[in-house]
Amino acid sequence: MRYIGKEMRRVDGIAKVTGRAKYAAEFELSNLAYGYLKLSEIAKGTITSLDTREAEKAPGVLRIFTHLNAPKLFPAPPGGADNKEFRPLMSPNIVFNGQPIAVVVADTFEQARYASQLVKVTYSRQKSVTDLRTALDSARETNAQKSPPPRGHFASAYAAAPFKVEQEYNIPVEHHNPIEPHGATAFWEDGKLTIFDKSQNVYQLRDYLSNTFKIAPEYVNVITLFVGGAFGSSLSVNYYPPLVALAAREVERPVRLVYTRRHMFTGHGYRPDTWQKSRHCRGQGWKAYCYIPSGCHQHINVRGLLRGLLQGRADSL
Amino acid sequence: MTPFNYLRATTAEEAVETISSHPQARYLGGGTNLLDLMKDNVESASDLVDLTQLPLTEITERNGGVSIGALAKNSDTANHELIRTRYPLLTHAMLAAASAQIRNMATNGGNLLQRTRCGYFYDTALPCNKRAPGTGCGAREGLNRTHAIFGASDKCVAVHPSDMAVALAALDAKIHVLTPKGTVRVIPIADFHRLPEDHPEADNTLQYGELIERIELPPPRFTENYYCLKVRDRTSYAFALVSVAAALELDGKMIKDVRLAMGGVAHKPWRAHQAEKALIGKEATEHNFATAAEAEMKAARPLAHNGYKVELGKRAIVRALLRANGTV
Repeated sequence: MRYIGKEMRRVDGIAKVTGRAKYAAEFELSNLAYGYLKLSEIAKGTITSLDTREAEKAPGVLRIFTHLNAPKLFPAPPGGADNKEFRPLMSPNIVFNGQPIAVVVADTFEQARYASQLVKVTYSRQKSVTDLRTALDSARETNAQKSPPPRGHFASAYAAAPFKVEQEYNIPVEHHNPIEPHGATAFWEDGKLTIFDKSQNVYQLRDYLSNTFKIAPEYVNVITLFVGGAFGSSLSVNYYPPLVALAAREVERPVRLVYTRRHMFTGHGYRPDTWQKSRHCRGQGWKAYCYIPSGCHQHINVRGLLRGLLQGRADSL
Repeated sequence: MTPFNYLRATTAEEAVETISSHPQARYLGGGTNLLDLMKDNVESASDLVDLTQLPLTEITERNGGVSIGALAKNSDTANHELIRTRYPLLTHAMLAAASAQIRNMATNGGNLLQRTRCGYFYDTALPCNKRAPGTGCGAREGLNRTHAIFGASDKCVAVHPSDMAVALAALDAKIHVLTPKGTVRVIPIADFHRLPEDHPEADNTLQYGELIERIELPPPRFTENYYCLKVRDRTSYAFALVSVAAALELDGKMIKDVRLAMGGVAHKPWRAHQAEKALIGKEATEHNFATAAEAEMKAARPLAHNGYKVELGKRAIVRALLRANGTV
């Protein structure tokens, strides 16, 4: 109780309000190059053509990475074809709106952004479903093995219970939008990778990059001094750190890539659209029954679009 | 952003002449809208003519009213003594807009000329007749929660985002414009912004090259009973879903005159003429306010996602009038 309700001086307070605290995209390195993401313009389908010739000739452009030329860096995801985890620039398939389809690397941010607008893309569009409530019938449980089995006899208990509550809840999508946009600065030296990233799990990122680039974990240095807000959106490895590391390796210069505010809406996980129906009841006295909600949520992390169904189950407490 | 030449004008005539001789040039004020649009490739320019050195920033008495320089900053205008004391409705509206930083950069002329924030307009991958004539209107059958309920066409359902323009509409402002011929054209605010009709690419009635020099307001009238109500998703730094600028001229409890203008509901600031007519000569009561609001909202044509604006519009008119009346 010594601290609750009292003003506290933060150890990093002065550094943060005076600009001395350095975030992932603020480390000045000599010969720095800049990456800019081009995102897909459809939600589902395939890229039928991708022409970077005009973009490559734009001033300051060093390289443009797409599914056509990016080395197939990423390890096969565990679970094989059943794991629909998204890997950027691996194929012409578009699986979500705002999917990264090209990384332009140039001498300045503005040059990279401009060149990204010159990349010409055509798509074959497929029908996409983005309204959860129209797709409830196709929901399925994502982690059946991990769910505890149902217990008790809810239906009869509910029918007989004198006290019942039944409710339906709709929780819309919420995008986190912390002040600091996601981004990273990376460079290689003597086969060792250093990456300044906004990460909430530096060891996980280190291992991921070690795995991806097939180098020992001791050769990956992940530096996250401050996180300018993430609210969970940097707990998993987002798709951009491997892209930044790849770009730095290929152009042989330090590369910085930062999301624009618009990129933030599809560039990392967010709170998914959720629908829940819940029924609770209790009997006389202390015996109570609880029906854990049957519900449906759009399973969204940046790596894919799946739908999950939480199985309703009954517990007597 | 496509590469452009940057030119700086020292006189208004020089600015107009430069634009006129470069068919894809654009005027640059504070850049708080145009530069964003250029970065996103929604707008482009061969040349940008910087107006910020022009002597068009004065705010002075004129003809019993006030002349407001087009290049004065929004913040300087809202906080100017003449505006605060004689046209407080305008101050109230302008201070509800944007953020302090933007108000410090934005010019009055630019504020009038700012473009819609419709998501389809902003996204070059999506159809938009305003940005790219003939490509269709994405919002009409798409997501239109923030779009128009009055005056839309099948080509465009966008709304004008300016709060300042709504107050200017309520106050019968006149826009003074320098033409390429060297003459001055005076455009009443009601005729400045257009309804989309078949040409949503034209937000207003300015001809290419014309330069807004100043905004004139008539002698002050509505200094006692006024209120600007802005209803939006957040309490700051957000555009209006529905806004109402309301002003009353009272004789005891009787309404001698009234001004009602709405934002967030149409391609231009919406003068609520039906509501005004229904209020003149009536007693300033909530019942009469509600009747007037009903009369105005009768012509509303909601889209799939903005039906809430009809009821919200009614209530916003009533509340703004109640507050202008000092009742609430």
